[in-house]
Amino acid sequence: MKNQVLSALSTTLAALAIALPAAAQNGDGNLVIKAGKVITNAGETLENGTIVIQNGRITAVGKDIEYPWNAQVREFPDAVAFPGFVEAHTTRGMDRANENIDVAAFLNVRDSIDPVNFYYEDALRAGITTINVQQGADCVVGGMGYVVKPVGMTVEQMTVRPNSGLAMSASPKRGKSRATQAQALRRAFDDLHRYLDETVQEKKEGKDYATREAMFQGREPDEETAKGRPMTGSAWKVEGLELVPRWELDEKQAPLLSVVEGKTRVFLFCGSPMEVMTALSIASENGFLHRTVLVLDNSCWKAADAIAERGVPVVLDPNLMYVERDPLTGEEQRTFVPKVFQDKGIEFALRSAGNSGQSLWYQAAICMANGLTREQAIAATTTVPAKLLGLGDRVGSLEKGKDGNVVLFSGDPLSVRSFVQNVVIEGNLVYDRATDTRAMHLDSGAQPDNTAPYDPNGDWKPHCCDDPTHEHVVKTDEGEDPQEVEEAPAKKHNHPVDGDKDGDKDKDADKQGEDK
Amino acid sequence: MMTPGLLLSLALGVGAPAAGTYYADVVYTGDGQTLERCAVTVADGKITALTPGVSPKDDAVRVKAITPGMIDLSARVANSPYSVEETYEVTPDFRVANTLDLFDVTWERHLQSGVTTVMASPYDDNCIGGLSVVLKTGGAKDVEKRTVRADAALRGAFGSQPSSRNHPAYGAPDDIFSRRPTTRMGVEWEWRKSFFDALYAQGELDAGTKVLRRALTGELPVFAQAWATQDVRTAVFLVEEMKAEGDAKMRLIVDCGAEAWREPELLVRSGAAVVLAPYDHDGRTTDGAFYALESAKTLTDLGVTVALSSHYAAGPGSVLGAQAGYAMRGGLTFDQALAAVTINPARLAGVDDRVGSLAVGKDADLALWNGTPFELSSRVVGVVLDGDLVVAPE
Amino acid sequence: MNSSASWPALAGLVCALSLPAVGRAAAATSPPQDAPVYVVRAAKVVTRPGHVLENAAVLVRNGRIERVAQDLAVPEGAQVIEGAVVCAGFIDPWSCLGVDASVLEDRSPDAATRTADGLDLFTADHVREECLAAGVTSARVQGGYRAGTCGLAAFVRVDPTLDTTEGAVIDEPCLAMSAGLSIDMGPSFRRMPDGSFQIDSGDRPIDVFDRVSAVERVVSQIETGRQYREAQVEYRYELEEWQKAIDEKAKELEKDFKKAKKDREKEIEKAKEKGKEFKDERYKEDKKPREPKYDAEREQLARVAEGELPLVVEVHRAAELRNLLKGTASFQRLRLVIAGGTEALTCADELAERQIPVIVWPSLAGPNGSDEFDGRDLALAGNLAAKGVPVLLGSGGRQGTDTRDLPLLAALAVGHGLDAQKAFEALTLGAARTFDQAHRVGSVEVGKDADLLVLDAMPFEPGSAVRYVLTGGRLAITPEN
Repeated sequence: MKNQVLSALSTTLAALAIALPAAAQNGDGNLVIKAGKVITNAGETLENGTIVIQNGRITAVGKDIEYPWNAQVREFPDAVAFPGFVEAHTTRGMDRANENIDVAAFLNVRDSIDPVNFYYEDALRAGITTINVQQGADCVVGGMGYVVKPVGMTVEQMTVRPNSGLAMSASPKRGKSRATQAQALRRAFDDLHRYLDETVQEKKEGKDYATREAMFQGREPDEETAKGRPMTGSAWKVEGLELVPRWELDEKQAPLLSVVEGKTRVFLFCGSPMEVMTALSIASENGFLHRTVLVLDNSCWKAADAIAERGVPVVLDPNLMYVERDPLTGEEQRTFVPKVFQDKGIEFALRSAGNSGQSLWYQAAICMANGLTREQAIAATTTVPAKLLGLGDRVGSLEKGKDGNVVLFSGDPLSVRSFVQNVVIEGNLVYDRATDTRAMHLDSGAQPDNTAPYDPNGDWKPHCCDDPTHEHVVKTDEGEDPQEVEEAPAKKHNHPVDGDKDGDKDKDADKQGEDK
Repeated sequence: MMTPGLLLSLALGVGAPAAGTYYADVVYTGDGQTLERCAVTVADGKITALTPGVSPKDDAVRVKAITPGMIDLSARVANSPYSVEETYEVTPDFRVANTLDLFDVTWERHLQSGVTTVMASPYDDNCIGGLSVVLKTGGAKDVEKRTVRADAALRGAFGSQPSSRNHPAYGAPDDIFSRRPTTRMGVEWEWRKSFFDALYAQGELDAGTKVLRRALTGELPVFAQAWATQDVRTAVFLVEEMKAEGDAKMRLIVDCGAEAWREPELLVRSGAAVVLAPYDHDGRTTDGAFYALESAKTLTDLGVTVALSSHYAAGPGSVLGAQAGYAMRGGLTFDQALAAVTINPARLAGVDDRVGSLAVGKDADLALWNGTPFELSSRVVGVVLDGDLVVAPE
Repeated sequence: MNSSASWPALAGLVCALSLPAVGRAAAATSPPQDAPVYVVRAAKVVTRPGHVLENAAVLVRNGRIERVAQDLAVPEGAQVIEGAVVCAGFIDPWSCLGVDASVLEDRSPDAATRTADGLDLFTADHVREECLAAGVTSARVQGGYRAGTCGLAAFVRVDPTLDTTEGAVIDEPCLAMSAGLSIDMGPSFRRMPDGSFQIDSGDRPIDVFDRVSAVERVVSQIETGRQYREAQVEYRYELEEWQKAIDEKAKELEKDFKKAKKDREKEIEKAKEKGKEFKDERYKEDKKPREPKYDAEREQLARVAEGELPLVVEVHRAAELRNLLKGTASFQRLRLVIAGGTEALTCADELAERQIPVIVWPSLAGPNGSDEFDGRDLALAGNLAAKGVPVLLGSGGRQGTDTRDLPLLAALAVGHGLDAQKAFEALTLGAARTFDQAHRVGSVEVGKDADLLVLDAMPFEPGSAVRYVLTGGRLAITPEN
């Protein structure tokens, strides 16, 4: 009997999931989320589902599942749980995005990311939990990017994946034309090739020289084992690179070598269809086409056939509608860019625009309106960017083993009426709209105490003369009695407004509004 | 790819002109009714029947939802300085209808986004720019033929725009812009002077004064741009001053009103209506006004008539339908949002006898949607204007 | 009848001999194997300038001219096109059709910048249509006309259906430079009444010192290229020598190794006994000669200096022209082409002697304001040709749409004294030869690309309208469109 009671009690406890006093909100990465609706983005949508996160990873998703008795549980009965959006490419969130010199492959955004940049705060507000920060397009070859989460006070805390890819641009840097940009891009790789040739040659000669010297001096030549690795480029190779230890290579050239060897992802920006052609040819000439992700301007859909032919994935411009005026008829022709890529079977990810309204949920919604299915639109902001960043097994959906990044919406994630209510990143609740003062301000203009600098309208009160029932009293300095001010007698007007031309008998003596 | 609507309309406009039947899973009439599986029958350019509970024929045009063609009172179709008379700051009797270029792309953009009726107003470089006109966004390339209501409102602006091109004369005046007003208070002064002069004018009245008198009686609504709080106040106080001064009954419609949410009581008190500007996501907008998301809701809950506008309708997130979506995001119900883009603007412009809702006898102006109207995940895929399918769903 | 019967045989032989020359790596554009076959018949087939075949036909297959004969049998499935006159498509040797605006206006290209990288093949296709309808089927396009060194030109096929550089660019046939143009002088400064300076972003008029240095710049660049090549050749010889010597030395060392080893061990012993530290004997050998640093620009300048690549220099005024001719006289292999040459008549004798082609731009625009040329004389082409200077006709390379007007401009030149035959040659084979494209375009001969025009009358005769145009074997223009 006692056992029965006990077992019943323990079952009830487990089923009821009594919330224990919560530990610190941002803490240990252990959380159980119960939501009115759970969209896993992996096929299932659950009513009243549960997500169990331990040590920052999802360990279970389902209905009525078990979880540790002492787990912290948060219930959101009216919310819709959804995986965090993935931003495939952004140049925001850091100090200036570009350097002056053409080839700056040795740079890394980790030295530039600013954890308190407004962009990260806004990302949370829009439900974006994974962000690939890359250098901007005003370069020939830029530096390395990082994949970060929008929480943390240091870059290390924010890092999800370091060195996500090297930035490059086929689009002219300031001061260059398209031709000189292509020239510079090719030259970067030609210079690398030449540098490697020279370095290997030097090493070989050094070795030969050492051999001759030893022979002259009557010693056995030193048996130096090659400390380097042979080059593994798929388009071109420099034989003998194993003679050169990798650490001896110029740090400015080493990242490019890594690219040619296919070891580094490349984010190649193209601002026009012809630049896509240039980009594709340079990438295949140098053996990194299979690691390339094209970051496109919205005119580049015209080169979609060439992209489809080579099976290269792309990241699309936030402006999804391409508008062109026919030079002869003056008519506007509109092309919905993602549809072109979808129809040609090209993998594409979407990007959020620069303002707070046109975030990833918005881009996905617009795609749905213009011919893509809901699944395709959502994939372009979750699973596809995750895959492009090599994080396909970590983010993009609510599945066992993936990161505990969950966004709780007040309704359907793609509905214009829904807001992000809460965000959980790696099992920690990091955003709550109820305490988001900027959101409050944008919604209703409210200025919560101590949250804004001086508001010129903050202590405005209606001027007393506007209220006809208010007694007109002039306040004076302290000590004096308030005095009444005599007002001029109310004017009587004899001209009915509706144009009585004859009524000019009783004109007013002092008219207002004299002539200039 | 969307093909130019006119070509397609030629292809599909077979049979009787300005006639047809359109089916939708849901028809929102704009006057409170929601009709399921409904057919809208159209003949001779007018709606002849609304029949719920029917199944469409195989080759019929069938969409997810139909709403009345939307109405944009601040459509900015005459958005160039050429549409306002520069030599004077107050030109009440000038008609913007005389300057309209129907070949401008803005008309097609509005039409494609489901806006079938717009109010064209003079550009706001003048304090009082002239008379606005309400017209259809498609049809013959003839202003007369498209006009739904001529001289529908007296247009003007408060704030900094009318004074922005003027400058004080440094030394001697060197062009016509060396003139008053150069400040906000100068703009207000021009308004007050104009109306006071009109009030006390004697003898033979000139054309401008006659128009101003019509505004004073309330026959002609005053449609004034006012972004910031102080401009909204100025507009309302002017109306109240004229009431006190000469028993005027001016009807005020505030255009843009981004900070109208700050002092909604003023609007309630004066009976003014508001045509809200397109939503700016980051708050701070023109003339430094702060545009709160809940503006539409705040005003509607207090009984102020609210209409929405999209200005030049560029981009899928800025069209009038999307503005209704943002208004819902800010708290309006679906029916309130629908009214704000259909019957409310129709009433304000005085054209609700012809447009603004789906009712037998009204103009056959329909917006055909591929999903729930005003959600960003759906859009207008077809437009019927005066009974003709001018934009065909693909 | 006999002579005319043997003509086609001879003509065929001649055509066979002028088959594609090997050498330049040309980007291939071959239409798919199932492209339509055409037989173009006409009362007059102008096979090359000055040679007309009466009542002949041209067989076009797979983008090439397969046969030209008077008794051509029409193969099954071939489409027959009838006309009055057939000739080769016109070539614009001085054009900027399809060059992206940023590249055209670029002030900072160098000798290795390729116009081919700066083409925009997606926009302005209607202009390409118009060029074809006017009869222009290929063009040498050049960017960077505002700069001193404009970069490498691209020889392109004018065809709106070509969307890739590989498809459209046939070759990169020359380097271009300019000397003495005010448009390359960049922004100037104006002093305002209040003492401040205002940047006038228009072009600065050129002064005497600039003129002198402009020509010097061109000449010195060619010299740089020559020296670069020389240094490379020298290096190769030096390297060979050094390598030989080193190899010999290595052999010697190998031979003496055993002895050297023993000696060393002995020395080590000795040193140990004496308690001294052992030091190896220093080894000396000749240093390897250093390779001249690779420089992409100098590579191109070297090709120019050695005559592998023609050099087009835009120059107008007599003083610069004279200096340029003087300065380049010592480069024996240089292939110089003058573009513009408004005052070239003053040097006509030397140009004729050195057979330096001049690309004339017959323009109605009159004198160019800031350069104050003595006048764009429409009779220039005729006058130069009369003096024996090889004359080409181009559309000026300032605006892409001007290429469409080239046949009209050529007609203007003919009207002002240029022999019609010479004009026709300038537009076809002359331009092709100057830019090393004669193996592919420029005449109606077997093996060449099928760039054909069907006209109503001989070129430059009244009523000579273009009816049909084939570009690379594709029927692009018909009377209907």
